[in-house]
Amino acid sequence: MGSRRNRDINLPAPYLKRVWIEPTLVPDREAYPFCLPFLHDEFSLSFDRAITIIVGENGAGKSTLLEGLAVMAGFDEAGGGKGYSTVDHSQALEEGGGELTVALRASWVPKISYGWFFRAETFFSVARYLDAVGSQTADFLSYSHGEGFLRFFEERCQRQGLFIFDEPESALSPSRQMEFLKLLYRMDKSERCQVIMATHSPVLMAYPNATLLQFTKYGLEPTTLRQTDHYRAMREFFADPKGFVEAAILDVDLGEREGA
Amino acid sequence: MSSRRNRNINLPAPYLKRIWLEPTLIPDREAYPFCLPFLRDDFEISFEQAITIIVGENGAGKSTLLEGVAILAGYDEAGGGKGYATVDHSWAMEQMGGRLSQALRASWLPKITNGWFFRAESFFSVARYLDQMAQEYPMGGGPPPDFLSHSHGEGFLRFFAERCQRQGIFIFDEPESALSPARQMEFLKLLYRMDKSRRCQVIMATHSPVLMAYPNATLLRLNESGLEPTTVERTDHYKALREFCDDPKGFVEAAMEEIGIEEREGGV
Repeated sequence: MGSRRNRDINLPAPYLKRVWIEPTLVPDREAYPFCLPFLHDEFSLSFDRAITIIVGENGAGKSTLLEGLAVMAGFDEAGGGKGYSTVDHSQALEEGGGELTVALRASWVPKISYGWFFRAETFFSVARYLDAVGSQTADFLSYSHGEGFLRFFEERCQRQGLFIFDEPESALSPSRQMEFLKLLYRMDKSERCQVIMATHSPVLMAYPNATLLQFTKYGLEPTTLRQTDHYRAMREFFADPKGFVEAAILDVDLGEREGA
Repeated sequence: MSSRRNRNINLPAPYLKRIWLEPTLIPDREAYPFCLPFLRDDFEISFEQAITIIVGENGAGKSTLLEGVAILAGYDEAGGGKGYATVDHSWAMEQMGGRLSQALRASWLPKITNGWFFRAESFFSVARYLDQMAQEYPMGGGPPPDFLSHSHGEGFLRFFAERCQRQGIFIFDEPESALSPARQMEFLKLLYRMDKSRRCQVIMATHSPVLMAYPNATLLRLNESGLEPTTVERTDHYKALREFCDDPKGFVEAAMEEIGIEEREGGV
């Protein structure tokens, strides 16, 4: 018999409906993360569908935003779920996401407390921690990296909750990425899982029935797969693999000649 | 004046010429990693070019093989260079590369002691360790390196570029993780600089067709029977992504449909 606390709520995802910046709560406009251009006074992000996919170049602040959402939801910033915050990140220098939350506001219907924040680079330590505390299905590290990933996901993503993925494609071969698409589909169909995911993988961006947002310097705007730089670069590569790579390398020679 | 020890050797890469399995040194044929199908008695790899790229599906044993080579070269198994072995992996359960190296033999010309073993999943802890060391033992008085204050992809490239200037052997396990296509092109440039220096040997496992397409490298496919030469166009990765690229919607729908079918068959 489930207690009231653990009972599922009979409303479909998305549960987190909107997040926004409350300018009066920004401690210092000049300091990181509030100096990031997208975090202007009108910053607001609405979630209309169960699955939201965010794309954008490295360094724009995607990870900081996801960390902020994760901390707001009560997850540990270094990756993990509620109650798993003991993964050692006492030395972590990336506190950007946590700081962001002091000025973030959110509306939920209803507030969900279960979920998981997953980033590729912390998987290793999260999994190691899970092994140490003796999760029944532990031992992810004895699998190769990509396989451990999927077992880990599958186990955690069955319950009602909010799931934040930062570049889950890392170390997934194309065929594993297709497996991951299936996982997204199962979560989507369950209507009990909200997913917010940042990715560089055109394959994951192509998930149908998701909101695809382009992260730019100035905010987030709706986009389509074919409009993304990632898909365009991929197209260009496949049109002429040899030419694509040679063009990249040519720059080095040119740069050296100019430097000389 | 540099000491003899740190002087560069005037021979071009590759320095690690060949590795092979010495069957008499295998403790247990039935146990992992020696039960991996590609680790047959006559297993060997020759390195003929400065850059060797290995492709293969997850689970085939690529990472175990790279770990084995890294340990053979004297690097820490959890990712890092010689002398950085204190990155905490006292908990690490992957001792497989270590076990493998017990039965591996290598020929070098000459033996090189500098280098780096880089895996995507241990970057975070290696970088954290480096920052910590730099703060505890400041050298040159400059500010400590601060890879972690950059976003993941940027930290990667700074880290690579700084470490890959010296003569050495560099092992990369899926460096493309968290690199956007634009950053992958930066990484190609880094490979080219290393290649051109003729002082860097690179052994890299990757799932990225863009990195596989690096020219002037030996491309090997790891399958059950061992490693065999291949071309980027023949890899499963290339074929799958090409198919996706031609028809993204159809490709993804096909994956979804498979689930629909599985569930119907499951009779739920």
